[in-house]
Parts: sequence; structure tokens; C-alpha cells
Amino acid sequence: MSLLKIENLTAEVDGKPILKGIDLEINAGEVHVIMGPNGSGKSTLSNVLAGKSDYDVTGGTVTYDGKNLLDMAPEDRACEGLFLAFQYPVELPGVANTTFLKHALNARRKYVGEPELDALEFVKAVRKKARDLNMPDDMLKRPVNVGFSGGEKKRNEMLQMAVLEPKLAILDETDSGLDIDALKLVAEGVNALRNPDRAFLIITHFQRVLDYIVPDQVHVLSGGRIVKTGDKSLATELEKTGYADYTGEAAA
Amino acid sequence: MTGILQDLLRQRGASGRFEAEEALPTRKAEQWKYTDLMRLEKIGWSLWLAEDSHGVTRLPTVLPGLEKTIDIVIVNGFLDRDLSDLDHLPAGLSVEAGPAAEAWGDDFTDRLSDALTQEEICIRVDAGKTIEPVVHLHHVTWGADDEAAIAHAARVVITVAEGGEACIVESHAQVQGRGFSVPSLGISLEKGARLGLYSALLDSAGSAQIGLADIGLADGAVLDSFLLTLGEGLTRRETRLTMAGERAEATVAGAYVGSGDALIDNTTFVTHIAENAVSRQFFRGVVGDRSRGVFQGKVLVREGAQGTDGQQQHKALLLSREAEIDAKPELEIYADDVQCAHGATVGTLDEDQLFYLRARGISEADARALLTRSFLAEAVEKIGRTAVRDVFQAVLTARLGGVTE
Ligand SMILES: Nc1ncnc2c1ncn2[C@@H]1O[C@H](COP(=O)(O)OP(=O)(O)O)[C@@H](O)[C@H]1O
Ligand SMILES: [Mg+2]
Repeated sequence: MSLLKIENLTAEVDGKPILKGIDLEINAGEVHVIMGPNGSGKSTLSNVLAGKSDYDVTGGTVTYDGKNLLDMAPEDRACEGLFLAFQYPVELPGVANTTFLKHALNARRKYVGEPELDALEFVKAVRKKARDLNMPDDMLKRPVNVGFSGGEKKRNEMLQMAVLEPKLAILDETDSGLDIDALKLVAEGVNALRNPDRAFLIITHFQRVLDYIVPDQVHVLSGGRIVKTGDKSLATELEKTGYADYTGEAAA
Repeated sequence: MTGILQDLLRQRGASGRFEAEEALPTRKAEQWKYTDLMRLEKIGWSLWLAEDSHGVTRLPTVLPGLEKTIDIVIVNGFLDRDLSDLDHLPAGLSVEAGPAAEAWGDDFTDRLSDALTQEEICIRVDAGKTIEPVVHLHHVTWGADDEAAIAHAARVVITVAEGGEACIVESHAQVQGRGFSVPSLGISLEKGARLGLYSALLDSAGSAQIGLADIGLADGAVLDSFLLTLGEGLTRRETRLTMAGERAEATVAGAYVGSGDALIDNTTFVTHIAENAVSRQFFRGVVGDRSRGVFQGKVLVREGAQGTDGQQQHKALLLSREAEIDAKPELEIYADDVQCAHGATVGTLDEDQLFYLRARGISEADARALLTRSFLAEAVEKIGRTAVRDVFQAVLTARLGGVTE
């Protein structure tokens, strides 16, 4: 069953077209990978899907879990199970990590009509998930992302994903800037959540993450269009040849 | 037309140190540039007099959860002996009331409080004594009905003698009717004395308060103070701090939330006279609706006050287009070996932070409240006494639910 269906999506920032007709369909249970050169629109696509208002959708449709995604407020998208691990996570001074996670989880539970979690149970569950990601307990007490290293911020995004258990998780270059151990933890986090009802859209520059996560499809995004789709071998090929072949095609 | 100032003086039966035709200061006066008192005019304030009697039988709960307190109740500017805990004061603490005598400074607020104050309440902490429970000064306004407009001026003089220690919370609120209050607070901290002074200014819409706190610190005295201003009318608090003793330390922190047509004015004046004293001002405010926030903060370091460490910070958030902030930080330094800094910033909630929260499922309203609360919490965290800090934070959190765009 199709969980996400993007048809001819176009979007611009400050009047400048960035996405120039994206078509992409992801079924529940699948893992898709998007690769592409810098500036090709990968983060723009993620942000448009998450509902960031800086981006103007100028055409096309996005159907998520049978609903018109583009009509929904960002918080409703999240409550419906859409999750974006940001390429550049924001710092929230004065907001403790656990407080933030609790608000996020309870917002979603409230939305789907479940009771709020007991505070103690919640803390226990979060601690366990943090340890799985090799995050020290004090990172939970600290304000969200404040003073975190690049890698810690990425792991914190993964912790949020683990706690919120989304239906569709978009990882925007979560693997960038991680050492091999951290990368394995991220991959384990993704694999642990994989099930027939969930899907992942993994945006990356590097083939190496695919040593740990086996994708169903790999797409090349260039110049605001998906210019090629293939299986895992496409990623290996890209790693060798680079994007030069595709940038020309997109511009044409 | 002579306006409400002359009207109040007439009711008082004395003109104090005011000229026959003098009116409330206008915005032409340097000290009142940002705070327009015109909204006080045309309201028929009646000055509460010693012979008047009020109908307050029970205290309003303005700071829920504040435990173990010695309650001192001041209704319309006069000590209420029945409602106060005067009979079981701990050893080393005394509370007395008598006629106000002394004239304070020459500024408008000094002269106004001198002219209108009828009773002076003296609180004394004896040398070397630590008063463990919180002393709660309840300032309440009571009018015969909701329409009543009562003017009153309470003066509280606090002395913490050498090596003494106390924690005082003062709250200002209405029981019924609206008030125009001119509370003055004179505090002297003798050698090595320590005082926690936490104020909650919670007057309702249509009320006005022009308050003055004049605080002097002797050698090694320590002041930890906080001003929570949630007043919905006009609330001005002038804090005058004199660092008269060596190695004295003072924190003057504050947080405010403006909504509706509120005007919240924090005016501070810190004078460093002695060497090696430390003063820290740390204010955070948010203004929504059509409200206004004013911060006028001055640090004056006199000649000879070497080794002074004087810091001042005011940060504010605008939550609506019609809200306004006026900040005027000033440093005036006449000594060479000093460490002084000030900073004032005004901004809006960060869109990227808001989006980050919303992208995690938190509604826009909750996200705004959460960011606003954490912004103000950085000031509330300065409160040294944990139990008071928690109560103030809870009052603030409860109020923020009601802040509108
Ligand atoms: N918020 C923004 N404001 C202005 N330009 C933007 C913004 N976001 C992206 N862009 C522009 O859109 C293009 C695509 O950027 P982006 O989606 O971040 O690419 P990628 O993630 O593939 O590197 C770039 O030219 C970038 O400068
Ligand atoms: Mg990007």
C-alpha cells in the first residue's frame, strides 16, 4: 500500500523554483534512498513534506496515508506519524530534552486519543532508548541540542525518532559527520523500527550507510528532479562516478 | 485643571513637597519618557484614610503553594493586625506600625510616596538572627465594590541587622475594586546581612502602581531579589540600590509578562560607592497584545569604587505587532578598575525553533507558550530560594497559558 505519493511536486523559495516536478511513491514497509549533489533540493523536499512555511508549493500533490499532506499543519503531519530528522537540528535553550520529548510524545498520543504517559514510565523508556544510542543520561537533562556536537545533535534526532515511532521517517543527511560507530547506531535504530507498516526516506551523500541499511529503491535528485531510480547498485555506481552524469541531464 | 495629583493631595489634606499647580509628570520628563501616566487621570481615585474600614476577611491566594509563611497583611496601605501573624513572630523578628515621618529623595516618586503615605510599617531582623520561615507581605487593595477606585500608599521599612538573615516575599493584588498604589520599600542591610526579597506584582487591569524600593547594602551584605510583574494595568517599579559596603553583593532579577493594555516599567538605578561590590541585574520580559514594556536601567560607579563588578542585562520578546518595548540601559563610570557590562535586546520568537517544535507534533500555541516560558525561566532561575522559585515559576506558567497573540 502506498504510504507516500508525490506527484509532479513543484516548490520555490523567495520566488526561485527549487523543486521542478518530483514524482515519488513509497509503500509501507519500504526504505527509499535519495542521493544527489549539494543544492539539488533534497532538504527542500524534506522541509516541504514536514510543512515548513518558507517554501511555497506551486504545484503538484502529496498524498500521505490517504490524506492530502499539503493541507495539514506541521504539527498534524507529525501527529499523523511523519517525522523529519533535520539536517541542521535547532537548539532550544531553556527547554530540557526530556521535557521536549514528553511534550512531543503526549501531543501525538492526545491526537490519536491515547492517554498521556505516566512520567516515570516515560523517563525509563527514554533512558533505555538513549542508552541504545550511546547517549549519556545527562544529555536528556540538558536543553535540546544546546552545546551538543554535530554528531550528538544527529543522535538526538534519532532518539526522537525512536521515542515517537513514526510511520514515515525522513532522515536528511543524518549520517553526515558521524563516525563509523555512530553510523552503526543510527542504522540499528532504523532497522529496529523497520516493519511492514513503516517506511523510511533516507537522504544521504554516502553509499556507506547502505552497508548497514538495505534500501528498496535509490533515487538520484538533481536540479529539483528525480533523474534516475534504481536499486542498491545505483548507490555503489554513484559512489564511483559521482553526480557529473546527472547534473547535465537535469539542466537539459 | 489640576488633575488627580492635586485631587489626591487635597484628600490627604497636605500638599507635601508639591507646587500648588503641579500635575503628574508627563513624558517630557526624562524619567517618564516611556511611561505615560495620563491613563490615571479622569478616574475618580479616592484616597484611603486611616479612619476608613475595609471588608477583607480572608486573604486571597495569590501565590499558591508558598509554605511556612509569616503573613503580614497590608490593606489599602495600612497594617491589618487581625489578619497578620503578629502574635507568633519568631524570636529576632519584630513588626511595628506607626506614623510615617521621614522624607525620602526629591524625585517625583519619593515626593508622591512621602505625601500620600500615612503609616510606616517597620520590620526588623535582629543581629545574627536567621528567620527561617518566609515572611509574606500581602499588599491588597480593597474597594467597597468592583467599581471602587482606591488610592493608597504603604511604606515598609526593613532593617536586617548585622549578620541577620531573612526571606521576604511581597505580593500586590486586588481583592475587590481597582487600586492606584504607591508602595515604598526602604531596606537597609547591615554588615554581613542577607536578604531574599521576592516581589510579585499582580495588579488587575485598570489598576496602577508606582512603586519604589530603596535598598542600601553595607559591607559584605547580600541581596537576592526578584520582581515578577504580571500586572495588567500600569505597573512601575523603581529599584534604587546603593552598594555602600565593600564586597556587598546584589542580584536584581525580574521577569514580566504584558498582555492587554498593560504597561510594565522596571526602572533601576544602582550606585556603586564602595570597593569590590558586585551587582547583577537580569531582566527578561515578553509583551503581547497592545502591552508595553519599559526598562530603564542605570549603573553608576562612583570615583573610588574600584573593583566594582556591575552587570546588567535586559532581554525582551515581542509577541504581537502592536506590543512595544522601550529599553534604555546606561552605564556611568568614574572609577578605572571596574568590570561593567550591559546588554539589551528585543526580538521575536524564533521561527526555526517554533517549526522544530511543531514538526514534533506540538501545537503552535503550545510551542509558543513553551518557548516563551523557557525564555523567562532563565530569569526565574536566578531566585536563590528554591521553594519561592518554584512558586513563582508556577504562577508565571499559569499566566502564560493566557498570553494571546
Ligand atoms: N530557506 C531557504 N532560503 C533561500 N534559499 C534556499 C532555502 N532553502 C534552500 N534554498 C536554496 O534552494 C536550493 C536547494 O537547497 P537544498 O534543498 O538545501 O539542497 P540540498 O539539501 O540538496 O543540498 C539551494 O540553491 C539553496 O540555496
Ligand atoms: Mg540538504
